[in-house]
Amino acid sequence: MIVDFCAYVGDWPTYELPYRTADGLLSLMNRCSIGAACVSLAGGMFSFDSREANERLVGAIDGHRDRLWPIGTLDPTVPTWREDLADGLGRLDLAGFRLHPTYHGYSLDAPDILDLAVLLADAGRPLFVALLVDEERFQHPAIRVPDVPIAEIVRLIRQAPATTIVLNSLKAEHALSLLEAGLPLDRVYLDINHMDVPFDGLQVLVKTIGVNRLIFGSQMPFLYPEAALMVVEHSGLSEAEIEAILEHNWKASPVLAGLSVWPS
Amino acid sequence: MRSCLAILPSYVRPAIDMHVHPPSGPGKMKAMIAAAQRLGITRIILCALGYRGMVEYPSLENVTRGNEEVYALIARHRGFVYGLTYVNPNHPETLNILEEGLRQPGVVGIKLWVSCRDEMDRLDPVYPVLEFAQAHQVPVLIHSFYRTGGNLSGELSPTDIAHLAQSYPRTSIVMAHLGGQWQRGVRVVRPYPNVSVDFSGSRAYLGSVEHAVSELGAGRVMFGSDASGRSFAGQLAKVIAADIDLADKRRILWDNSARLFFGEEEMHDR
Repeated sequence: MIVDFCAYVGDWPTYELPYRTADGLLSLMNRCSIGAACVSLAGGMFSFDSREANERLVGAIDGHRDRLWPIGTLDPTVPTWREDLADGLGRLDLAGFRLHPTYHGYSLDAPDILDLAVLLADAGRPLFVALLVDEERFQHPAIRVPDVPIAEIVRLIRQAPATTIVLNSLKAEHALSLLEAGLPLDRVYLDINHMDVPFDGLQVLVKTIGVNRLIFGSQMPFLYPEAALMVVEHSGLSEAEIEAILEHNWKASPVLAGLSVWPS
Repeated sequence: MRSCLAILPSYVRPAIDMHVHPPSGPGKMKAMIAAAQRLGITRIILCALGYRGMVEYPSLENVTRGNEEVYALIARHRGFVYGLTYVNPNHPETLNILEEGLRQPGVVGIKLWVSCRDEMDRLDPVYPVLEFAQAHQVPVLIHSFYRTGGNLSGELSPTDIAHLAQSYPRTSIVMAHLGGQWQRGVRVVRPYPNVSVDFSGSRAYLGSVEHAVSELGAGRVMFGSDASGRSFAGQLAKVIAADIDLADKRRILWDNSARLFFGEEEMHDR
């Protein structure tokens, strides 16, 4: 089964996202043979109240949890983040959490980030980090948000080796930086939706870093999910490499594989 | 289980990619051609942005070397690689460079990038280029952006493209990249039928191709990838995924570029 590890549902402040409802996402997934998707609330990164945002997420995918796996919002710099985490893991039964550090305005070096990583590892849930959502050059002038600095990602991975971390929308060149930093990448997974730069970015990455760390993510419905699929399927990788990225690598992670049987 | 896109739709073949840049590095051109051909692309139109590097206001030598590389690649891959002559219009030698370019086999137009203003921030250097293009009936591919945070010093915006289109209504202009912020950029050039657009070089924003077709009609939208900087697959997917008619997809993938750059009214190579 193809799982999309980078998807969003709901409204976006600067334009009307097509396919932004659960039904819309499912129609995109059906046309691309995507079985399930890890979905966050598009507006969650603008919310001051993660608990409320996560309630909206759960409401938005109500009735579709078999294919839309809820990945909650969290801002670990607000004093109540532990309550929001407990509420998400407990009452709302979220599958994991996705951080948007630059949208919420904090650094991954913030003091409580490592506590959050450890708590998620203990709970057997993944920590997603979105490097970007909208390219800086296309952003609304009132909402200027930089990409997450790769140096912060490097430090997070080094200091949280027990946490399963999914990096969304990482560029291929930055993925190579992770390798060069000599990091323990056993529990780190990179979605491929931003690895089409340059023309052979994904191929070069596979040759350099290997295929095992790569998983499928499309960032739908911001982006056509077909784009990420075609980059994998038509970029000259071997059949085994393609199948590894689309179908197998996530199953090799006990934490990510656990999502496929969730909710129990 | 592979996705439904593991086999390309038959309508993709053939396709013209009208916005490609030479790669750098040994073996990269061969690899790039192979990547294009895997996807049913049967012609690419190359243009330099100077030589090995992206200098905003390249020197004359840099422009010359970049064009020479493109002409050599056209000769080496005849029938698959075509080209545009790139100029920094601030150079007094620009029209000579264009004359020389059009004498080269396989050169089918002109490319302008981000060196389009003079030291007084005027568009004056561009006008002779568009006059030349009009006189020789060749299209001009112009990089264009509405860029959050402000454009580069010589980077044209869709507003500039509209001004040029109005000033030179018999010159065919292709506004690259949907003008950057595509929701704004495309609409600005809608009144000017001599302007087409390509959607190369950005992430695959869902709805962007539909928006361009809705605003301009499919006859004014072209497939360009911006390879070697981007993958062919990720850009071609925008057409395959777009919620538009199959006939419109054919126009975007082949007909419009065949007509504008090659003067071909009938489908070839099918």
